Amino acid sequence: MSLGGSDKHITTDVLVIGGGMAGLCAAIKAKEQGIDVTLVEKGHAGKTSGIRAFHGDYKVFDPEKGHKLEDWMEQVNRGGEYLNNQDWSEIVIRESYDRYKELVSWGVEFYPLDKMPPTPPWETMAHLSMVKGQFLPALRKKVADIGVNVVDRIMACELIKQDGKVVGVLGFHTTSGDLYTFQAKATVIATGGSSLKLGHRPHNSWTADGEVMAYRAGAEISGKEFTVAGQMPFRAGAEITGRDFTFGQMLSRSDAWAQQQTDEATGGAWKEVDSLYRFPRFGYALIPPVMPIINAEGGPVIDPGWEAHCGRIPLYAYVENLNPLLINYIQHVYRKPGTTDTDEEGLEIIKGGKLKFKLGNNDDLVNVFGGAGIWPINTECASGVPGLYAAGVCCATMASGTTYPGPGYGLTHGAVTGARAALGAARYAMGSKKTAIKEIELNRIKEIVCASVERKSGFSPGWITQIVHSITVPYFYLQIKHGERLQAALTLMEFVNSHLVPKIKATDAHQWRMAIEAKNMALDAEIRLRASLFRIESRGTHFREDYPRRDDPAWLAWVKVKDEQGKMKVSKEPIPEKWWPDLSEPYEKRYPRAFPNE
Amino acid sequence: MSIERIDVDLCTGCGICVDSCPMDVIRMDEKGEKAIIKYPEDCMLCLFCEFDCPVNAIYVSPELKVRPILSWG
Repeated sequence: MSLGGSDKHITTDVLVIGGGMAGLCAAIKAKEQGIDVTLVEKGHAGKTSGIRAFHGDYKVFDPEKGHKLEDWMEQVNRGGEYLNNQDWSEIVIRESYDRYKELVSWGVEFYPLDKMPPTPPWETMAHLSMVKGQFLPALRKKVADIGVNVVDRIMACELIKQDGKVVGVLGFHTTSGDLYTFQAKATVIATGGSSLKLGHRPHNSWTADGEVMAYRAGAEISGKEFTVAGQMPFRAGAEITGRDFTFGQMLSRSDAWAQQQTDEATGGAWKEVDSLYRFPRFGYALIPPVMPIINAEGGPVIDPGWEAHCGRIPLYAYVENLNPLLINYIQHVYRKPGTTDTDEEGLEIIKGGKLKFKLGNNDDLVNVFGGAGIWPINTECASGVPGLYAAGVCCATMASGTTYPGPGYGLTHGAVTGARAALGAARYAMGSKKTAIKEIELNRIKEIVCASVERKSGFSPGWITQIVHSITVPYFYLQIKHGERLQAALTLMEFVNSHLVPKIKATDAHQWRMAIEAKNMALDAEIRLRASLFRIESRGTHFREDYPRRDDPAWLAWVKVKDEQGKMKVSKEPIPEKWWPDLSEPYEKRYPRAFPNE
Repeated sequence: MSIERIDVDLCTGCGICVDSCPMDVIRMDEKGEKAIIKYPEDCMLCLFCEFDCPVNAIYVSPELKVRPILSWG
């Protein structure tokens, strides 16, 4: 049935899918419990993770350094617009230090404080930085040393369920084409984010594989209406990916604070810019948002994307009298690849004056780290499906809420959830008997996985990907949203999923992977559209042109998507009242950031 | 467009770049002696291969070729 010569069968106690931060940490932690652990990765574990292109920022909460839990929680709660699960936020913050010590003991090196990238002026939560290019290989080495069975270039495709429990995974080797059956007592999904392969960041391997696999097996998916605004220049190289400024990082700051920052940045020359700091989306800017921006008509800018939507482009930034902290930061961010020299664009900014904004590159539409994916039913990262756990970016702990709280939170979340999922999965595995996978069920799953290589004719994975892009990339679908447009896109995406996806054809093992990825992305896109249509309010990184205000308390709730007999069911999960903002506060005070036309 | 060339004369066939590619773009040739660009259309310009190549044999161009958003197939 497969493209390869033989079928392989591997039996293990705990199977970890994904060889990035969360997956590697989970594998080590599970192995430390004295059980069999296998880790599979569709790339090469420790080398190809989507996180490799980023600085290894890592949040470390250390009360001995004077860090106050309430300050950190305040930043996450406000930034996440009260859609964060505060139990999880606290877990991530509190356990960051223990995980940090553990990482060091596993051979991960951290930069000394004087070699740290400068902290952005708007950041209150402290972070350290792992040595770039060292931390993932170090974890891979530890994984191998401790005796985890690592299998690279395995595209995990479908979970195998028996008697309501996940008992294994079916995948294939993307070079040999051999089918691989993994029989596991417990499975940890750590497949990273979902980015719809937009190509503007090196995130193309994030095709929501784990999330949709879990969805198809009956798990609940949440947080899909929110996306981290990201903006990358075309040369999205590993050395320059720090350039992801977004308005979303301007968190939990009052207008007074914004004005103060602006005054410092501009020497008080720019006064009417408060709205600039109040909208958390899109991040088209390649310039730190502490610089005042005006639109083509000379008016203030709430959000560059909105200005473009209204036809008021190009945009201009005024840069005068930058303070040393900002100059330091710009020098760090605008670097020539592989050097510490500031690039031409950075020099241009530091020089000051009126700068034309770069618009046009699209977001990568990546979901919020720590705010989207497989819904955990407990603090052990168990999904609702017995035997299935999730860790890292694909685990919707909602520790973040509507947007990303700041540098390092994602990797810390990966380490914390990796450890928790591993302990949960290990305990579950130790209490379970080995379950033989029934032939009839295995054959059913094999038919699904091999469908694209069995076909004599059909659509190429590349073409399907293009079609998915046509329905998700234009800004007026998933960035500036409107019910009518979302419905139109959803209608098309339903057609893609029901009619085009079943006819994808793959010609070799590489294309087979691309075919599975295209299928996963198409389902992921439909989940995003449904979640966006369902939330009839604006909040954080979810902006509805037709509902431009937050709606408390009706939408102090999470949106969950679940498969029910082949249909996508969307529901609301109310947020406990103890985590609500103070509703007696005026709206503007509760939510310092404004939406256009709110 | 994206990954442009692997210099045959410089390539030692160590295979590091094959492991480094998240998108499975690079493979060894049939004899297993040199790395070749097998699936350039899937390159996402992460530059991992260029950074990891011990002999500087790989060139990735800064231009990312993006498929048109609307397609007639």
